[in-house]
Amino acid sequence: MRYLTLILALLLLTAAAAELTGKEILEKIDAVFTVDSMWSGSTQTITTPEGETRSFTMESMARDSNRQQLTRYLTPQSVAGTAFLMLDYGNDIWTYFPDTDRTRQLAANARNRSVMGSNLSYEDMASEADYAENYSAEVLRQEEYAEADCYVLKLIPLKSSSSYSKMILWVDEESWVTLRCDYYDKGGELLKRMRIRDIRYIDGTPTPFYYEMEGLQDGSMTEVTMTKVRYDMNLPESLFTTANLSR
Amino acid sequence: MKRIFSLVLVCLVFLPAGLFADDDLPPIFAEGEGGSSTEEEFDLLTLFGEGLTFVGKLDIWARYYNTDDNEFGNYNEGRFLVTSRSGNTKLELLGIINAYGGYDAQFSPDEFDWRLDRANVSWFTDWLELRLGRQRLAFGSGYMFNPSDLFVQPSMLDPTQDDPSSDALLTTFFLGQISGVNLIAVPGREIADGSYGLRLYTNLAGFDLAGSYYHRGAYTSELDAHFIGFSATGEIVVGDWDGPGIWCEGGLDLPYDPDGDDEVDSTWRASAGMNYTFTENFAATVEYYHDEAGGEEFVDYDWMGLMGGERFVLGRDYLFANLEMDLSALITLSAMSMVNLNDGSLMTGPMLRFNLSDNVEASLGGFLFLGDEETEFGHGEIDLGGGVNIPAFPHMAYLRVQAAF
Repeated sequence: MRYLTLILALLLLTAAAAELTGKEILEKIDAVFTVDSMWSGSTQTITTPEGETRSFTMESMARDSNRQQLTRYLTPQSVAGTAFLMLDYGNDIWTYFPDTDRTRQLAANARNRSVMGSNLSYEDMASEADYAENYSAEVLRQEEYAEADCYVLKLIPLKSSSSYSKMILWVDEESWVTLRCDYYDKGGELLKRMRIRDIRYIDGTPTPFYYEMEGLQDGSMTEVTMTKVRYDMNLPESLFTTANLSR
Repeated sequence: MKRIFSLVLVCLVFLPAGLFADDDLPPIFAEGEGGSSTEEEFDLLTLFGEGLTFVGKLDIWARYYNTDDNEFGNYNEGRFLVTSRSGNTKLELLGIINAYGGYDAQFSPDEFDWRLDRANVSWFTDWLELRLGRQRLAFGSGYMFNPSDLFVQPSMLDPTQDDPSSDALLTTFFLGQISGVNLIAVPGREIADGSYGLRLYTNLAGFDLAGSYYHRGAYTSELDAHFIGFSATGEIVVGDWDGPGIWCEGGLDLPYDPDGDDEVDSTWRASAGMNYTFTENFAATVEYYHDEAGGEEFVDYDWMGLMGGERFVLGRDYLFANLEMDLSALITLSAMSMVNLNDGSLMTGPMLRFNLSDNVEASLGGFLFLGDEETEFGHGEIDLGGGVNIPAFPHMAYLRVQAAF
């Protein structure tokens, strides 16, 4: 009888879990990254279809659940000091170039531009903590992916200015981390695929220490490896200013 | 026999799996408990770019000029930037070495020169920044033309390169993340010869807005001037469609005679532009420029002012366009053009840029100058004195290598 109760409870839990709507899942994804502030160091390696590689290191700061972000390139020397500030989840972006010592606002239509020749656009870098506001979601199915039970979601951008027509996400049901995301271009063709690995729990927050974005139409690849991550550093708002871009 | 069978079985089971596994990738979830950020060793002194940094850049242009003698020249530049930041203080030093050769050497009194382009120290808090010393005072947001900037003017051949910096004291009061007040003081050899200004900047409804006022001592040898500048940068948004980025900038010079009652005409200049990113790899920029002090006709052009760096262009109205396409992550094709709308002459410059390594780029390009005989970009000549005339703008092809270390 006890086993029967347990089985029933599990079934009910499973049913309850299965009844999560797409929007609820997006809110859970967003909630994972609801941290006061974050600092990270990372390396980014771009591999061209011909096999050439280019590597960058950078530091990034974020606060208010990634609503405000500042990223600065540290190496190579050719781009050292180049920085960009994203406010309001990337709706407002300023870029700074040390050679000219000028800070310029980036138009919204430029958010789909490749950042430093990588497979990542400003839109990709800004949207990861604001899915619920920017996309409508439909649960396609539940399946195992990379040994994890996942929800498979179809996301449609709510803004027509998005460079994607849709995205398919594989979301881990336990950590609510997106393990894989397929991006489709405006023509409906599969454009690129992001895969996340090496998830570590830092201060209880599941933190991907490795992700890759594969360009499926040209065979290019961008890999990002986190070297250091630190949360809840009480980063002041004064760090997230256009003035701080040049410091 | 049992062992061999087991081995074969293992191979049969795991070999195919291995073929499809992501061998080079780390596992989805890291082993162990993960960790705490407090367990990481962080050097707070280097956390936000503190410490000493050095960036060296070499810029080597080998140029061919389509003159009667088919001449070659070269323009070479070395930039050495040292920054040191400690706490709320930052020191910035930028030395620039220029070397000219062949055809390019005749435009410089020396074949080799150097200057300390930046040498300043800044001190900042959450609400205040003071920067004292030689520094760049570049506030405008236009791409090719910055009529609201008094102290820098971009190079026509490369808008990323600007004129020398100014000896100044810049005081900035921050009013939030993207608003503030600049107080600018650029004293001359005598205080009365200096320029002193106030600039307000903010962001309203998505637009970066700025307004400035300067008093310009020694505007000319006889005149002082008031200067009023403005700039606005934003984008056109219709519903949820993000349209082109747009900007406009302007400056109004109001000269006056400090010793007399002579009436002096004011002049104004302004630019307006837009850019649009069509795809992830293709963007276009268009900019219009009007300078009331420019010449409407060829006979009015101030060639000596252009050669002396007092003027950036000769005419009154210009249309500039730039197309840029990333052919791959490492190769970019661009084409810039500028039309003098007063005389119809055209400057156009295609360029192919190769990223050869993390720190080396090579560019192959050229400039064509097209127009009638008596036009700015046509085949006019500059009188260098002593009976020496040179073509103002001969067609040019170049190979440029930029390296950082």
